[in-house]
Amino acid sequence: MEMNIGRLIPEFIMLGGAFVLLILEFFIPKGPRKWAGVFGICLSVVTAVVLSTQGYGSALSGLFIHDAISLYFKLLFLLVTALIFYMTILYEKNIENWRGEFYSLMLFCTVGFMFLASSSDFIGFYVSLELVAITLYILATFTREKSKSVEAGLKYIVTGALSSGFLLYGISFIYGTTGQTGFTEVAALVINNGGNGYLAIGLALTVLGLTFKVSGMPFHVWAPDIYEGSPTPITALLAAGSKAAGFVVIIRILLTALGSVRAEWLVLVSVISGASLIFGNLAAMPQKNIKRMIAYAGVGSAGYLFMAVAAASTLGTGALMYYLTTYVFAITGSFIALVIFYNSEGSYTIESLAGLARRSPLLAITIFIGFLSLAGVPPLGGFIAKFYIIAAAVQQGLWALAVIGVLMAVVAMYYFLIVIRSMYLRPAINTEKIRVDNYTRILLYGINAVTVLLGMYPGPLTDWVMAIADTLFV
Amino acid sequence: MIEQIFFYIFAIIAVVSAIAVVTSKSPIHSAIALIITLLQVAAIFILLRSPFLAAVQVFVYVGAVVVLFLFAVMLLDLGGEKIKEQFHQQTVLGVISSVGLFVVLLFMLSRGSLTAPTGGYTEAVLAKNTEVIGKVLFTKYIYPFEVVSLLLLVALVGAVVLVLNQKGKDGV
Repeated sequence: MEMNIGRLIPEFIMLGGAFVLLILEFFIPKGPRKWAGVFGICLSVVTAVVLSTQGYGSALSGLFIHDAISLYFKLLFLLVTALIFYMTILYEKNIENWRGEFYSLMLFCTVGFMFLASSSDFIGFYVSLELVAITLYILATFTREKSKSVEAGLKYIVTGALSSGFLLYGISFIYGTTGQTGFTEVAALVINNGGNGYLAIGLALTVLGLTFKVSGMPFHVWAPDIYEGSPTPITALLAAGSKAAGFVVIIRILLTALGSVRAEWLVLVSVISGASLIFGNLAAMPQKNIKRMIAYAGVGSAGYLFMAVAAASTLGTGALMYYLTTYVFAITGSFIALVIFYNSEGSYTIESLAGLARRSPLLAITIFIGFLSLAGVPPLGGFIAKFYIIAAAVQQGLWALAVIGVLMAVVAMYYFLIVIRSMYLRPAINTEKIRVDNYTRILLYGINAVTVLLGMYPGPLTDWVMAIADTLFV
Repeated sequence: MIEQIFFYIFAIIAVVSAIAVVTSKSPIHSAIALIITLLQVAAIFILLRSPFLAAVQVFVYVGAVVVLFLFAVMLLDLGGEKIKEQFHQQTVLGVISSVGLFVVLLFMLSRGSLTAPTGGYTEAVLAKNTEVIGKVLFTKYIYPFEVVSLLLLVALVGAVVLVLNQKGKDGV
């Protein structure tokens, strides 16, 4: 029963920051909180530094583990948090009845993500998931004066509760057959005894419940409304953070705990993957609002990521991590650009983007690079990621999925190109230039450079993610 | 033998009051019948040597959920109104699903296949299960336990933030 509290220092730093912001809120008059955003960014950087110096191992009697995969995902979450804090600083003034708790809740959410990445037990994983879910319910309905936001929030909570029900029911079946809740203990028992009917039921319900977090097929219904209705930084957090957090758990449960009964979940995961790919991409085509379009495209992305899980190989898992990294950069880059655009224009429709290239070349090129990376166009990071995933699927003989993946990449190209056509080829309705301040300018250049670099020079990151993925399959 | 007699007493009262929950016309009578049902279930838990579950049943279901419900009913003054339409359109579906559940449970019980591995705990240890749960909660499962405390804090902050938003308009 070793405790090793020291291994939780990164989480404690983030939690401490969240409490400090929460308490300071009592003493400071209402108003903008830009410094709180800066504080959050600094906190993420400090945590990331501390995190990288931590040794691998377990803590809290083995329920909390820190290993290569949790390190990678936690760094990714901290990166997302820092970028989203920056986005919130830009967006702050658009939130009616702005309250400083927003920043504190976002820190709690990040802590939840970090706990998720480190959970090695069904109970610990479930409570961390609920911590994230409840924080996101609150953040998503923050602008509840808008009736659309309230409607979206209700939909989100009801779907969330339903999926939690599925998840818990599934976990109870897994616990019922094995008598264990730890991932490694379950894995050991399943390897020795093989699966049975109850385990298969538990497995199916757990996977279905988890599709909620990653906006995969059966539980995706909340995504378009919530993406449209919630404050834009939270949309980005849902798109980038929630998806990564969902998949780290899926990796742990399906590949670590239940990897030996792959035959039992392969069909289900493949069906979810194929259905999400087809539905997400086709439904994204007629969308007029960019946030809704990205929501449906996100359902499609969940399809690609499930394909990588179905491959259940080093290449597949490495590709999954690569995909999520490129996804984070593409999403945060284009959302920062969209927030600046919204600040001056107050609209997210594709039509309103017309002529953006002449009004602000930087914003246009950022959205251009971000969207083409999401679509998977060759010299960009998203292409390498999709390439790895489809290669992994082919390697494991999942031909049908690979074909759907390639076809849907073409469809994705179509709807992302509509936006790009609007920005570059349509005449502007309002020709006034959009000003971008210098910090944002530097940040956007940086994000664009990373997206391009991930596509042109994928070597170092590929080596890193493949080495991590290797540790899962020994 | 005595245990069985008590079991049947509790079980019969539980079933009768459960029927009263759905058949009584007044919401208050329904809620009180529900409390009686849940108390009987708690008693059955004690017969099954699970004092902890029994206590939770009383605290959470009887103490918190139903009493809260009763307060809501009384404060909103729904008590006087009789429910006119007791069985709405989903009667058929409800009957089918509850009969289905009954059949499945009967089938499983008759085959004696509703068993599960108990893990590392022997009967003797489980007899003192409140103590065991307490110890395990603060040693092995301290991590989920603490995360739950964070979760409750966040939920509380969230409730306050979302409710205060509306008053923010008046400059509070």
